[in-house]
Amino acid sequence: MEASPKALRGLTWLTAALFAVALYMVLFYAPREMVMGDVQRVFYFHVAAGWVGALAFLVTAVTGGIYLARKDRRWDNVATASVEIGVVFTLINIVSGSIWARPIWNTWWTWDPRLVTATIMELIYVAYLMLRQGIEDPDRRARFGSVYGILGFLSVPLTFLSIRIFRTIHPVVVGSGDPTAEGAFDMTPRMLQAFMFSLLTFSFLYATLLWHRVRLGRLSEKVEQLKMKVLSA
Amino acid sequence: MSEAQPPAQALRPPAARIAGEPRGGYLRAVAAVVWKDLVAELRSRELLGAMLVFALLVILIFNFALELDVRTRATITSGVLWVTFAFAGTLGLNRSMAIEKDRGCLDGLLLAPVDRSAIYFGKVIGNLAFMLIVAAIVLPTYSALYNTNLFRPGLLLVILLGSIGYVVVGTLLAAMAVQARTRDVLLPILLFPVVLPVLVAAVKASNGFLQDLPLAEILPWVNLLIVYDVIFAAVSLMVFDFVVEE
Amino acid sequence: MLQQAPADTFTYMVLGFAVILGAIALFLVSLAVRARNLKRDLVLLAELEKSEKA
Repeated sequence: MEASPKALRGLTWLTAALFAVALYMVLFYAPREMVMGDVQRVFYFHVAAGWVGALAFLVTAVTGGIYLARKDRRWDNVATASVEIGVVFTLINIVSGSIWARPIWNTWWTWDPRLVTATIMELIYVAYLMLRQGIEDPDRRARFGSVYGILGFLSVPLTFLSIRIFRTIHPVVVGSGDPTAEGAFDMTPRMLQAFMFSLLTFSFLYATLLWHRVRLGRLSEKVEQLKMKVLSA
Repeated sequence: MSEAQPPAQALRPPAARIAGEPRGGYLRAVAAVVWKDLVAELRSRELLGAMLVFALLVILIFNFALELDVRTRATITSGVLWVTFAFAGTLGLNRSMAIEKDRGCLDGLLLAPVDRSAIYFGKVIGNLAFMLIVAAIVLPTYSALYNTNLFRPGLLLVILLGSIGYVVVGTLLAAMAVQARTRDVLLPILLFPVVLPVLVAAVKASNGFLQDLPLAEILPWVNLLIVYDVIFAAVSLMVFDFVVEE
Repeated sequence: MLQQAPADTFTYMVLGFAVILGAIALFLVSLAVRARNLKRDLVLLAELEKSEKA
């Protein structure tokens, strides 16, 4: 694998810079929240990570569909790369959400529809990776991955819906009295800016990581092909 | 153990012909697949036997694990039923596909001049039949053991809708799981997170009917079930080709 | 009406950011390590190929 192309290196530096600024905005520029205190600052990156997780899953489903249509494994490479990133960021979303919940509601876990859906989405991601791991043939692996990616992605909104209805009819007794509350608070303009900037930064972060991971995938493919050639000679 | 399964042709009902009748041929192909599975099962009874014993054991375990007194039982019954169905269903799906793969029947089916979707529908109907048969045994058993009447039309409808949703996705995923190294353990891992909306809706709707809750409370769940069934039947049908092509 | 001071949740904030930054860092490290291993494999295989041809 040659050294990263100029564009990627530029993007990486840009993302790093954006991240530094976002960190500053979130930790210093945004005011401290009146009720929750400092832990509320975690919220900005928590939501941004959740956004990346959902975006990553969408990309996986779409590139999977394109693979099924075109049978070009490069699309499958993107799908796999996106899943890996999605797994990481959804996990960040869940754990940071849990850390945020703890001091606010005195519990590590709330049956909030978004949190539960994120967890189930994570389980689907992991199942996706386990499916791929269990299949030797690369074309079959790509096909199955694509199929499961599409099915999984479609099921997530339905899961969210079912939990939402669940909670509307049966509000939770332990924890927050309002089933739809996720630590609601009003955002001042500075908070809003920090929030939007975090979303922007994490989107750049996703794109950068995706590009790097796709290149890794291509390198891996090259190695596999060479391995087969050399070891079977 | 069981004898080798005779080729599909020998089991086809005498009047069926696949070639030469486009629409009738499709339905006959579906019927042939279903017939093949049912006849094979009738002869060996392995699959159904395993599912039934498993289902009954699960009920027994729940009895001791949860200590269901009369009042709590009313609220828990639907959950117990659906956990039972979900796990017995996994067994059925796994075995049904494993049989195809191990005995090379899938390849034979694929060679037939028939739309792949016919195979999909055939397997779905077969799996659905097995799940409903399990339900047909579990319901009276549960009713007898706990002296409650589970045979309400609402509940039966929910069991049908829920089973359809479960089987429609399960058949597709089983076809994939069976071709992987970790086949047995993989199907539940793939299936449960995706089929969760069905299970949630089925449990809530079943509970509604069992506890005679107002229809307005039950309807959203039934609607969700129908929506899920339709979406996933359509999508699974479209992608099934990609799962069985060689 | 008296306004309460915000809750002291500083430690949780630190924990939260440690998790977020830590996870991203770990992922970056994993990418780097895997890339390095693959490049090494590539070099090895290229040499093997050459020696086989010889």
